[in-house]
Amino acid sequence: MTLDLLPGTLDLLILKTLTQGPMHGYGIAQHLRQVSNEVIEVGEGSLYPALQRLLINGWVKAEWGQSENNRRARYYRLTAVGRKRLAVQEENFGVLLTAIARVLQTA
Amino acid sequence: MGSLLRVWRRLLFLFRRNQMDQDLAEEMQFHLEMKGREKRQAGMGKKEAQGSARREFGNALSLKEVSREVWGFCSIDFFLQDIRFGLHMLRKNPGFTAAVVLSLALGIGANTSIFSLIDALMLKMLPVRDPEELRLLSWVAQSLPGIMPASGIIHALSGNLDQDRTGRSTCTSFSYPTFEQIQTRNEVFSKVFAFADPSRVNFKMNGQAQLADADLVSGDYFSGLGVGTVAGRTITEADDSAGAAPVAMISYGYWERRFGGEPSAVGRVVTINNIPFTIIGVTPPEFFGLQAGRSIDLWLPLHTQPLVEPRWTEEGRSKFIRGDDWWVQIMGRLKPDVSEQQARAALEVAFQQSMAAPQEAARSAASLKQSPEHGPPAGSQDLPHLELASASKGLNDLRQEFSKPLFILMGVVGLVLLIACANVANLFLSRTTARQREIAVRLAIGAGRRRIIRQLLTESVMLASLGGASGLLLAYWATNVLIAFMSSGRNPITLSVRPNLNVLAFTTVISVVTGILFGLAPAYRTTQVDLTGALKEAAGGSSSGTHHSRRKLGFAKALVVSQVAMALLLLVGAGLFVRTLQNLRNLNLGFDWRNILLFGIDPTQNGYEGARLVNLYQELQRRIDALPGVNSVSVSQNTLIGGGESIGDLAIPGYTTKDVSDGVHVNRVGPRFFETLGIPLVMGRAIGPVDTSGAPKVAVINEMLARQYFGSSNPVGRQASWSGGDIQIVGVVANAKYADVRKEVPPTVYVAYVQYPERLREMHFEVRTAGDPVAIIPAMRRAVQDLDNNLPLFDVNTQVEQIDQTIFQERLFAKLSSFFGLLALTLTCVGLYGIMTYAVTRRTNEIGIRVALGADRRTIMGMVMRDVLALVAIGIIIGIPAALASARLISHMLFGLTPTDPLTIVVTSLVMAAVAALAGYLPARRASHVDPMVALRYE
Repeated sequence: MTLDLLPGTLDLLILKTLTQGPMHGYGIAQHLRQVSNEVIEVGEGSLYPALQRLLINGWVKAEWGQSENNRRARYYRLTAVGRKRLAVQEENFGVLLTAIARVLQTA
Repeated sequence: MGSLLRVWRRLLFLFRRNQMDQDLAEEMQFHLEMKGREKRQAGMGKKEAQGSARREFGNALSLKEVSREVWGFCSIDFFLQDIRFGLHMLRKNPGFTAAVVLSLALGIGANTSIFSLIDALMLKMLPVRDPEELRLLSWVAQSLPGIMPASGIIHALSGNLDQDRTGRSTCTSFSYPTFEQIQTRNEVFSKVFAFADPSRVNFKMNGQAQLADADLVSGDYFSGLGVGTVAGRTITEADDSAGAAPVAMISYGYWERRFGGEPSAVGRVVTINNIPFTIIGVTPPEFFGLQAGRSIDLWLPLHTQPLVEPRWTEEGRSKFIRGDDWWVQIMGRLKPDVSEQQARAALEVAFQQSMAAPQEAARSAASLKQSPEHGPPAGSQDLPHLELASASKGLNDLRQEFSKPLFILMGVVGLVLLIACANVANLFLSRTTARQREIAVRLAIGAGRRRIIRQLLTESVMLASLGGASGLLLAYWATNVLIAFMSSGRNPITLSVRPNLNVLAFTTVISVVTGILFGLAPAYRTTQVDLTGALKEAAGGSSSGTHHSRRKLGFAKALVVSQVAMALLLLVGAGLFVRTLQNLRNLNLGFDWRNILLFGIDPTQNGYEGARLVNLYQELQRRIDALPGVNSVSVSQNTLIGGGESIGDLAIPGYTTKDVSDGVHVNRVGPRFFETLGIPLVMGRAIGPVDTSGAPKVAVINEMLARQYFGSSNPVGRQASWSGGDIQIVGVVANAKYADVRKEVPPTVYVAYVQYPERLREMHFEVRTAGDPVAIIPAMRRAVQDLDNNLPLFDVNTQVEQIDQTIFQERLFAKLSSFFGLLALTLTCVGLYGIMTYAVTRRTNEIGIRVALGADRRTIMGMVMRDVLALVAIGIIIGIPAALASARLISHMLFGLTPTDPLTIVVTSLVMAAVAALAGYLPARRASHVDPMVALRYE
């Protein structure tokens, strides 16, 4: 299933994922797949541009570290600004969801 | 704030771009490996897992690009990439690059060159302080006879008088009392100053006498213009008063030439027209006076005029007092808070006031005696009124003379540039056909269409810039050549055309516009490609040809047709100009202009006058006659076809001329004049040695005058009178042109100069030589120097050179238009050749089939030639009406033929067709030699 229905949703999901702690790109994709029960499959073509976007806006920070199997990997971590952004986006998304649900109910 | 940080982060990463690339690559490598591991854990084999992972990963390259796109550096990155690739492609095809750059260099160079001239002559502001504040005064009169000389308001006028067809006259000369009145109006002008037309003076220093151009200026001239000095001081009010010590300023150029740039020049005493002057200052190098194109050597205070030109002070009354002698031009610096209307109104009042005095004087003179010069006084509607014009670019004289020709030239070179661009566009079109495969491949692997167009556009702009840069160099050289040619005219043009921002901007804009112009169309069309078709197609094209390539050929053909039309237009223009020149050169001038040397001297500058002057001229004539190689010598007031003419009134008692024209032409000549110039004597005798100053005054008239006044009766022996007194006609000579070859022979009367010693001033000498006139110049100069070594010569020319000088604009245009016409023709033929080659290549298959089916060579050739001639014919059909329409623009520059001259049009069309056929011949021949076996295999 594609996530281009609601732009910015991917950003929200990544930010939320990172509240779990710093993660590398592959890890984020895996996490999203697992938690959503294989529904949300984020392709690399969407993931990495999104990460770059978050980097530019200063919502995440990137640093190199060691992975589980002793490989060099790039870990992304939430910043304070990012946390604030997440809170705002979460609320907005909630309001949007409610609105959509209401429209679907009345039809 | 957030956006600022964003930009900051972007900038930071800009510098760490390479590092970022590495990081991303490594990151993706890691991701890939993790994916592979996952698959292996799910049970796939190692290789299979990796392959599957890679496939799922997708296009790594495009991913990288998309990620980078987020950072927004792409434009810079892509731009640099484009440039690098463009350079590579240019180097790979040196022939193509050379052809394009050359065509563009010629087109852009020609345009830039003409534009530099236009800029230097028309657009540049005066190098003074705040030139926009300057205003030049002029007056306009509805009819000239109303004020001059009848009403006595203007008794003498020196300066430029322009008359339009209705008789309305404009002039910039005023009387000195008018200037004084204007000066009182200090609520309008913060500074006002006057100056008089430049004249030639005898400048003697260190025993060497040379002629120099001098301007007479009032005290506030330099302070009004805001021009300072590089050495010494400027002329001030104190210097410009009667009785002040004579001082002079020299120009920077004159300082370098004559004084070697030495600081000791300031304070040196020199002799100007036999009067000692002290040099007080040197003007800055960029100041040339008020007229772009003329250079002044000296500035003298206005009040030194009686000292420097004593002969011009008539009847003892000073030019500074007389209100009817209009000889100064007036310029002022407008005060910032004064509007144009206010200024004009206030100055008009002053102007009218200043004319009151001479009007009064004339009225009383008219009532006292009915002198032939004064008629009824002027009515108030005849009086001239004042005009103000902006003087930020200086005086207008040269500009008016050259503006139209320069703009016509601009049109011509504009067309040449268009033709060159069309050629280059076609070259590009054919080359992108060759690159079809490369572009198809690039499109296939995912390059955006816009990206490729941008890259092709970068290439074409690069080529255009190369062309523009070479064009700039070419233009610099060409402009200097043009100016050198223009200084060989009647009045030499001195322009210093230095590279400036205007020209640079102009060239840049043209280069970029041509780059886009001829890059866009082919780029656009090339990327509209059917990918599979293009990838299959080799560089030949199948017999069916894609719809796309046929469209391309159509576009190219349209370009060539337009080229033919434009080239024809230029050729017709060239033909008209060349024939005009021929017509002028073949005119019968009425005298023998071969082997005549001319020069002028003005001994009055050294104080000669009256009988002493006559003796000088006669003695000089004797001495030059004695020189070896000289057949005869004569003296005259005006040389023939010299641009100078004198007009006077002739009255013949008992006879009235049917033709009330503007007076007759007069020339004061000496003995042997007609013999030296080869003008045949028709009746009676010529002016000879018997006609001394004591003898009865005689005159010789030409056939034109004889016919006008006397019809068929014999004029010899009759009496007449002119402004010099009574004369008796002693002979009639054949008609000869006077001042201008273009004008009809005017009725002319020749008088003996020795009989009017009081009116004698500068004279010219004509020397008929046995061989080349130039050879005797040194001996002649020595002869003059032996007589008086303070007599500089001027206007030293052969008669042929002098005539050429008067037709130099026609010569210039004949030369230039032929050059550009031929250039256009060449470019068009190259274009034709290119497109026919391309067309033939496309049809190779078809031709092979035809040959195999039995068509012979001639049929094939005929097929191709028919194509060529069809293109040319359409071009000519479009070109002819265009040529007819635009030829009207140059009708005033033609002589002896109409702008719709049918002979010229027919001949140029034929030439165009013939040359074009030649251009198409080679491809046609190649087509006819196609080997069917090779052609059919050629897919």
